[in-house]
Amino acid sequence: MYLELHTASAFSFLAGASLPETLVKRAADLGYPALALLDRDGVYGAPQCYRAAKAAGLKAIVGAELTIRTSHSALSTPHSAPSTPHSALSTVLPVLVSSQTGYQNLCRLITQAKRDAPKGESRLALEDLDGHTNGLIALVGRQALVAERHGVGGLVDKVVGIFGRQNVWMELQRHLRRDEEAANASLLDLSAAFRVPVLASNNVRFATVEERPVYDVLTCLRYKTTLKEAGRRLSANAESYLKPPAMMERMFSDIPQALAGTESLAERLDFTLANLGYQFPDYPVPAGETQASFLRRITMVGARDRYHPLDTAFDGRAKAQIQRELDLIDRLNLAGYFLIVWDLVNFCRQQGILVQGRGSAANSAVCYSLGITAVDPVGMELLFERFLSEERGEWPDIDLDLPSGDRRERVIQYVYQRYGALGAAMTANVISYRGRSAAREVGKVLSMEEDEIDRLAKMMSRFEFVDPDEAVTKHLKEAGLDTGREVYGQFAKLWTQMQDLPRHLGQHSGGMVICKGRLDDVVPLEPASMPGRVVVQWDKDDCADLGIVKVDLLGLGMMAVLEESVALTGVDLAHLPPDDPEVYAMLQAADTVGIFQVESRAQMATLPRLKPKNFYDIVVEVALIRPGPIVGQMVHPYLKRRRGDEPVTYAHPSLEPVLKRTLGVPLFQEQLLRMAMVIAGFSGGEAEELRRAMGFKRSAKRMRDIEGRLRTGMARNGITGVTADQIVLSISSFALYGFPESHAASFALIVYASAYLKAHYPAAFYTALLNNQPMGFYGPATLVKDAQRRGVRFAPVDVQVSDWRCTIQDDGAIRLGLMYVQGLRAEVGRKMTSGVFLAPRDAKKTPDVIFGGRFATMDDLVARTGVRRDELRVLAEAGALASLGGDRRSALWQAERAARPAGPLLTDTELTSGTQQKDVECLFLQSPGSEKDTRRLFAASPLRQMTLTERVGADYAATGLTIGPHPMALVRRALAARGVLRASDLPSGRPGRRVRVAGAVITRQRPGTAKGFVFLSLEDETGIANAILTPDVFASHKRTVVDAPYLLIEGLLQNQDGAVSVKAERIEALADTGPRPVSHDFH
Amino acid sequence: MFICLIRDSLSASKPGVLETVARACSPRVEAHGDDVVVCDARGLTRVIGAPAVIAEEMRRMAWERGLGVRVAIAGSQTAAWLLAHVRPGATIVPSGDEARMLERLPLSALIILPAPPRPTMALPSSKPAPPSTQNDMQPLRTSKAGQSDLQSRDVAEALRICDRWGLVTLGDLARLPRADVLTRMGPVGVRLHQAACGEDATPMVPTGEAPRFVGRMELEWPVEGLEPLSFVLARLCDALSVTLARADRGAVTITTRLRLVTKAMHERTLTLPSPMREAKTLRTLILLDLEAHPAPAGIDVVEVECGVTPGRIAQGSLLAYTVPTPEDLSTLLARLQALVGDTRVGAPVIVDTHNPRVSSMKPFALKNLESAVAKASADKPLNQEPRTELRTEPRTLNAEPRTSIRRLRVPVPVRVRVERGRPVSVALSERITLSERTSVRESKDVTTAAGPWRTSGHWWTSDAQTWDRDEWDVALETGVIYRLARNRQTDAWELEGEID
Repeated sequence: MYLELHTASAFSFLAGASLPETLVKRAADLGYPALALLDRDGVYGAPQCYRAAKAAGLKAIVGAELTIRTSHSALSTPHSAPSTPHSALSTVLPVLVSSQTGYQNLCRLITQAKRDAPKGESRLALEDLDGHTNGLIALVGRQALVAERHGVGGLVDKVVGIFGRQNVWMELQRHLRRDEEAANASLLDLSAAFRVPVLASNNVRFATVEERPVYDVLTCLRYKTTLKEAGRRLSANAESYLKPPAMMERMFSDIPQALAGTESLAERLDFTLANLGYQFPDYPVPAGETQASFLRRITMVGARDRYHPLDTAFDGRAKAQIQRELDLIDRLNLAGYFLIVWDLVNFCRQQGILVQGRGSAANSAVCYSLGITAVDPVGMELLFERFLSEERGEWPDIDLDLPSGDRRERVIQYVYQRYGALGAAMTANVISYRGRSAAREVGKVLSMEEDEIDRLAKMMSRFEFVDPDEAVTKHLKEAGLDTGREVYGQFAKLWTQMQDLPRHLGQHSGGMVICKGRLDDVVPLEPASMPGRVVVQWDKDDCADLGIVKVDLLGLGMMAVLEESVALTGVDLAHLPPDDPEVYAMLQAADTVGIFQVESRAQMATLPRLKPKNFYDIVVEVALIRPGPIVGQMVHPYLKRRRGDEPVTYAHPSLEPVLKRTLGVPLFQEQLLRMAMVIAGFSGGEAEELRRAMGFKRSAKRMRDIEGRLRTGMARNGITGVTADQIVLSISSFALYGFPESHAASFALIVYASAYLKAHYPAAFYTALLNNQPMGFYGPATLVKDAQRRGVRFAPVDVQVSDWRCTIQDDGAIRLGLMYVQGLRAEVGRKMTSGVFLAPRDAKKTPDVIFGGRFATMDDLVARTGVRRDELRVLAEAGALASLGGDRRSALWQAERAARPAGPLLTDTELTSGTQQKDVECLFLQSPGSEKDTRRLFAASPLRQMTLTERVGADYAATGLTIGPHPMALVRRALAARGVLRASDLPSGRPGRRVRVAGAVITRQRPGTAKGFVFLSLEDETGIANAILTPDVFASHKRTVVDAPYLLIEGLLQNQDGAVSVKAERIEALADTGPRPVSHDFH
Repeated sequence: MFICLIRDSLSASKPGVLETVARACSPRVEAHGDDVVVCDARGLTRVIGAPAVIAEEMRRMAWERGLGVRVAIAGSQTAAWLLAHVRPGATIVPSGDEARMLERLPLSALIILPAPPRPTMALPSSKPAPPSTQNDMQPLRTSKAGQSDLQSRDVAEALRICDRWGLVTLGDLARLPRADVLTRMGPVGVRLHQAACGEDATPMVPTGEAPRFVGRMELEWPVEGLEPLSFVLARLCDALSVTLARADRGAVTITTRLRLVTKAMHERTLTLPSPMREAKTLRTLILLDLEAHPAPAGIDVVEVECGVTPGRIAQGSLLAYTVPTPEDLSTLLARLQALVGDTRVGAPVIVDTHNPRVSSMKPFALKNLESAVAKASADKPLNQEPRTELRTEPRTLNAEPRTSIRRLRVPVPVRVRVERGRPVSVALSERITLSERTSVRESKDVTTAAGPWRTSGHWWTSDAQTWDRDEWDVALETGVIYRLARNRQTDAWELEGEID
């Protein structure tokens, strides 16, 4: 039977139009027994193909199309046309893997090809293959005929020489193209001449005929052209789809040996990704110890430190739990993995890098004992099976939170150094076409106007929420486009088809895989954009599915903030006072701007209602505002029960021990597992399997199976009907989006620490926050205003005293760093800060010194730092040159002169010309002397000073923030005349009253769980006001809401237990209010 | 005193009208395209009247020619220019009041300043400047636009600096010391400062009136037919040829205007492939064109006007292959066009598409011929005949001898009987002749069929350009080989052509 041995997926990046799953599904529908995926220069799609094929009962054959460098231009077919500018000098050689050795060779070859080529390209010489072809089958097709440098049949001769006659097949293709027949005849002759067999294939590029337009669009993107201009670069017809076997057999009925060749080759290809040959590295242990025994010893040492005394801690439960975990780790042979993570954590501690394990690892007492996590799972009664179970047979998942930036990079480099450049790599992150990117690309390819594309891109991915009734055409109508035009019909269709197609490979933020031996035997490696980094061709899920162990080294901005705050204050985070009243007062008042996790609008709206009083309340708060509890409709019942408005009940009495702590409402994933164990008799492993099945939304069958088992188990315990349905709903809601309790607890620790610092050391906390931007929910401008409302004082950027980063002055004020001057190069900024600080006393010795700052004059600044004119302008505009004397305009006036050294000739000319003021200036330039003279120099500026409004505008333009008045304060009088309230006035207002509020829009949200409601945060000089827009109100004011930086909203005041908001009825844009603030949208 | 005259934004642009109005009032005129003219108004008060009268007179004259204009009269060109651009109607600036009148204008007004004249290193020539025409201005204008773009970038940058300095009006800028502005913004800043003060940076450079190359003859008796007309044209073309030669110009367009006895105008314009001025050629071209497009009635006025460019400089070479002279080529093309129609003469071009039916032709130009011959001369030894090498498809090892197809540019519908997906007999719907063999309506059996060869494309529109066809090459029992095409949407068959 015919089977397809040459299929390319969208992971060929612009040379294929279907996802591997789609191809496999189509193959399964057509009755194919196997499918070979040969993507260009990679095995990017192989795991997905393998997974889908396994589920569909197909064999997933592995292969790749290798770009081979030749030195003569090769004529290319549209399908095989290479995508790079260098492609004219290259040809394509498809290879198939027949054994594990072959797979290893393929991975090494691709790694070499990527290593030796510029980013995004790939290059191998045919000679590079020599000696690395064992287990690989080469397919020689039409491309070989046009590689003319090798002479008639020369390339075939070379390939046969390198691969061996038994490993070369002549590939015949028929796409109903006239020119293919002559090539096929030549290939048949060559096969006879070289005595190599022939096979038939269809060089599939998309699953069905309907995907041909998308393929053409991708072709245009590859060639950077439009459909109108692409001409013969586009496919000649739509025949490169996955055809039914019978059709292929009919097409090749005149060459039966080709069909037989396909079949016989397929029989030889018995390698699949099931046997990758991956091994986790061993941890070196002292002589006489095994990894398990060594782990046991050090765990017990750590446990004795964590639990005092260990034998009796929690009635001996701690020790028992540790023993149980160690036994399981021993049985699963995972000791090495724990030791390696322990080693990483130790490295961080030794380097003074803040580190904390998060995720389900916090359920493990062993991790707690080893210092990997900070949450006591025994004390908090966390479920170990969520982390590790015998049934699952998977590697555990330990994520480490590290300070983002350089510190995390040091840990990553440590891993490379420890396991070798080819033994460790980052996991990939596949960037896919989504709303905005797809709209841009499709618009370009359809030759739409630039502004039209902008409008479409803006509209197509404005918000996360997608109304089921919202067709693409509705979006287009809202953008004011004539949907009757044919081009928009095509746009809508292509845009929809482009969704989720891979665009390019990125680097995952922190996932690292390590391997015993060479990782490039397991998966091809590519150099990343960042120097010193390599990336595997698979993302973290693919790695996990194929049993490759990963350690997530996640950069967490707040960890960096904590670390910096600790350095500034000397606070010991490990010994913070528990239950600090100021922290809880702050949380209850939702005064949480800048605090980890609980600063979002939704969290702020919940905090006054939850009123956290202890650490566990913070854990609940962190877990509560997640899609899981929201979709599962758990939030309101929990809050009502907490307030006593609703009795605490349980779906079944047996669930009381499980749900008691959360008042009968499931909030954590562990509770979901325990529920399944209690009511349906599931084991820990089965319960985890249930969670995963529910979370894996694409596997409907798997979900149905496990749900059936759950219901059967519940029925055995007498739970049926509505109760059973309710339990199933809560379980399915949590599966994907709920937090594990351990993870929430780990995060809650950071919440508490950050809140404590904000409450007691605000200057240090805000300094650290400003130094680690971008992070969190709010921009620096909002953070500065929030800090000022808390009494923190700020000093402006100043070239004479500012550091590159923000610092705390002796008087307690935060001095803004030069890093906030937009457009100032870091090297110039650092040169400024490295300048010797010239003390006033030195002035007597050095004639240039005037103020005792770093620079005597602006000319001195320019001469010593090489600052550019544009940078000098921004510095002047930001007021950073003020301490050289004069106001911002004077500085701007001088900056233009200082940045254009006129030379002595012109200086002399100035001396003898112009006005009296100018004479003063030039005189000074000749012999700069005293501070007074310099001030005169600035005073000589003929420009008028900036007004307050101008200064605020200049602040935003130059630094993105202001330490002066909020822009809304400048228009407050006019707004007050219109009855507009301030944000701080709202809490005291009567609920239900119609109010007006105005401010700079700092967040726009349309969460997927909010059924089309939109939430806006408006900032004014007194704080943040929240507004809620119903879908109708949003629809009628969409353009204003999306585009206007300042809004005036009129509506009804709402106050739910202290959570204040305005339910919008009318919205208007406030024109010319001030500079455009940074808004965080679409969260 | 200077007058700036600009087209009002509500009026449509009318080439030449502003210049005509300006020249009617002043002998010294500097035209800036079709929409702005500056002229010297010194002495006009004695001829026309007070400045206000001059302004009104000019507006009236423009209005009569269907153009609304703004007028500003000031002591400097720059002041007149700026005020005309920002103020509607007529603006008269009393002498010495330029700076005061300008001081309240927004700084953004400076963005419309004209580009300064190009600096030149050439020594003044003793020869009089060659007369220029609209066509002469073409390359100059391009160059000016490029410079203007560059200048406008500098001006925009300088205005951004002014904005940072808090300057709002021209007065704000004018009050700054100029030397300081120079040290901070360079020459552009000085230019802007001068403009803000209402000073001119350069004197006015009057432009000459473009000469027209026109020959006109009013006939005593109307003529009909080409023969009598040819004598008239010969006289006009002889005179034009001499004029063109004196001005070192060549005609690139010829417009023939014939006033008919019916008082109607019959006007034809020919575009020539290269500049020429030979009287005989010009006459022949006009006659051939009129032969193809004859005047519908008797003619009593004949006018011939040439659009010109500088004359062609041709350097002969012993080594290069000779090409037809432009005159010969133009005459030949004109004869062919007269014979087969305008749109059916040209050079075929390959259209970048998979659609085999699409064909295209571009006008046959001497430039292409010259470059092709030059390339052939460079590539081939002189003792060999130039040879055209065609290569379209990749060479394959056992490439068969090539066949060629006589394609029907309008495919003919045919009736095709299909069995098991393959055509088995063909019958033409109409009688056609393709080569020597004549095809008839009777159905003929297919002895051999190759196909289907499938092409489809232009799916992104639903117009006539979209296609989805299967092609078959079929040999009939009569020995003839046809290429057939089946429209996959409509299942209709058509005869594409015959294969030799």
